[in-house]
Amino acid sequence: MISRKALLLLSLTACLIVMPELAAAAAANAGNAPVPTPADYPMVGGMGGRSFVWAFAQMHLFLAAFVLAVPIFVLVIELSGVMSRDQRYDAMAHEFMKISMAAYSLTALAGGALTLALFLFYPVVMGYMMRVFQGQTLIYALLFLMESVLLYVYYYSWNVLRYGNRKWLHLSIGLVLNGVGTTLMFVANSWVSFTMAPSGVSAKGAVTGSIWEIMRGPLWNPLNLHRFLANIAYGGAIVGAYAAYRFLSAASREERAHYDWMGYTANFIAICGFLPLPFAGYWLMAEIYAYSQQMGITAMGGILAWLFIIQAVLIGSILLAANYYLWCGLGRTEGGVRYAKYVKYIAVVLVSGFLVWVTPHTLILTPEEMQALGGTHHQLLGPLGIMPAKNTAVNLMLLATFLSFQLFRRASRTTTVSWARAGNAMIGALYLAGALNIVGAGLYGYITPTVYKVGASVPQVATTLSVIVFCTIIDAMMGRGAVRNTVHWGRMPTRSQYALFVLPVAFTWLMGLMGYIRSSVRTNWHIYTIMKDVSPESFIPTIGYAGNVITMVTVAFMAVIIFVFWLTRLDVMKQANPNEAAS
Amino acid sequence: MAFPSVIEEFVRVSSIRSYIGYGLAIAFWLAYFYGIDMAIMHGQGLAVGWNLMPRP
Repeated sequence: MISRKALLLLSLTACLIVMPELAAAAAANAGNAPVPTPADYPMVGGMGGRSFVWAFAQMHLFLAAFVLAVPIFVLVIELSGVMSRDQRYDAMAHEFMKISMAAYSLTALAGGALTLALFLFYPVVMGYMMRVFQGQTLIYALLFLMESVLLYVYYYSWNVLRYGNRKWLHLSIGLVLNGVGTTLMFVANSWVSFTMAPSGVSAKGAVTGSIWEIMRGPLWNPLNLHRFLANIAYGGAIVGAYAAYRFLSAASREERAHYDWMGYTANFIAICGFLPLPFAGYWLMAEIYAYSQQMGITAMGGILAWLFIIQAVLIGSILLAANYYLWCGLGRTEGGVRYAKYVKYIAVVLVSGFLVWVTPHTLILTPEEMQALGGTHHQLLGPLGIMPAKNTAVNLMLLATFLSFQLFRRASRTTTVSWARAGNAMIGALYLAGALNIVGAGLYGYITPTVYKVGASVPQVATTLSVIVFCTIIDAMMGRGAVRNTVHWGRMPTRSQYALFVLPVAFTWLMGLMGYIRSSVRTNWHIYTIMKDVSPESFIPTIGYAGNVITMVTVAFMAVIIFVFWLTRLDVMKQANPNEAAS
Repeated sequence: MAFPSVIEEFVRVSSIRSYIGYGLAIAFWLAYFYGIDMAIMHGQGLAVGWNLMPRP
């Protein structure tokens, strides 16, 4: 028998040996991500914070996308004005900035509301995020301050720095402004991509890497590129709607012509941003799959997959509206009429592609319907529901859109080069060979295993981009010495302007929808694989509920934009002096 | 019918020489795209099963 004294001595010795180990373990755990409990999620008025945070985040993102994108294309337009010595570009760029200025403070307000909501409803999560990103958040604050100062200086110095070397100083301010704005977005993106694919931390969330390793996660750059392009397209669509609003309310012919030109430029910007956007989206999804196949399948093979059908409807609407606007634009020139006969073929490609894109792979069926069908897959529609068909449809639709734009551009010029016929033949052959290659790669996807099926989409993308690049080069070479035809700006049917209203509404809805998907792929994690969400709202909202939230935020954003347009217009309105009227 | 009228117009304005020109242009671009396809598929290591491609 061991005596009591000996037992006590043994216990004390064991404690002395184990305690440093326990202390070391406790010290190591101190760096880990905290493990929240349901009590860590405050309720306000009996309500959880998820929908508030969701709505504020979405509203902030809509406004931020707009105000960050506008200075980018404004700078390009301003530079075009300097190079072409055409003052109209300068006036248009200034007017675009004016719209963005009215939205800037609203962006900051929405951002402030989002930050407060996040710290109020998710204090533990935000505490950890602050611990991970530390001083980088202060750099963000500094960038935000610089963005504000530069934006105000850029806008208010427009007329002071208008000519000669001063103009170059103004352009330089614009360049720095865009550098700061884009960096600001990239920093904010790193927070989002960290929650989806954390890097620079251990499996338990302890910081192990530098801030650069934390920022440079696998999804950061795909997200950066996708948001950058989407912002350009979105900003273009919103200022296009402003131009349409001013076009419809124009009192004089000159005003109508000016806003028609502004609407055309805005639509051109939106299309330029939009054409490469699906490819940036492919890259993002490919990186998501590479990072976590489970996350990829949750997005595109599970409950969220149905939302990609709604995405197809919205993108299809955007393409149809943008093309319709371009077709109406053929009427602005005398030469445009000769291309009108091709419009119906482009429309056939667009509508067919649209129908293929919206075809779901599986249908929601009752047992009776399934029995009648002989399975869950329709014999004819099933094959159109898989990616090779959709990739083929999307790429052909993008080619058709670029063709519409090219026809309008052709209509405004008469080529004079001796090899014009050969150039046209090269362009025609390029479209034909490109379309054949896209269809061929699509068909190949049906007869090959999945990995090659996914891989075959890359040559399709390369084909579309090749057609766009080579057509632009050949067109530019053919355009040397071309006679510019008179473009009758303002000679547009009123209905064409409604196409410009469709674009921002569809874009806003689409961004809300895709934001819901991007956030939901984390499933029950605040920070994927590191910090679990244990709040009562730890579930993916149903599609119906999400649809309602997204729609409400979209409507609210449209109301904000109408307010911004009204403010911008109010700025140029003057009350008549009653004394002068009386005299 | 609108569609045949476009083809009719194409046939009307085209000569044997222009047909050869179109043919060469299409062949050129098809060769270009074939090269792109092969380079990408091979580059991705996905050429296995592509019968026209030498095995990597």
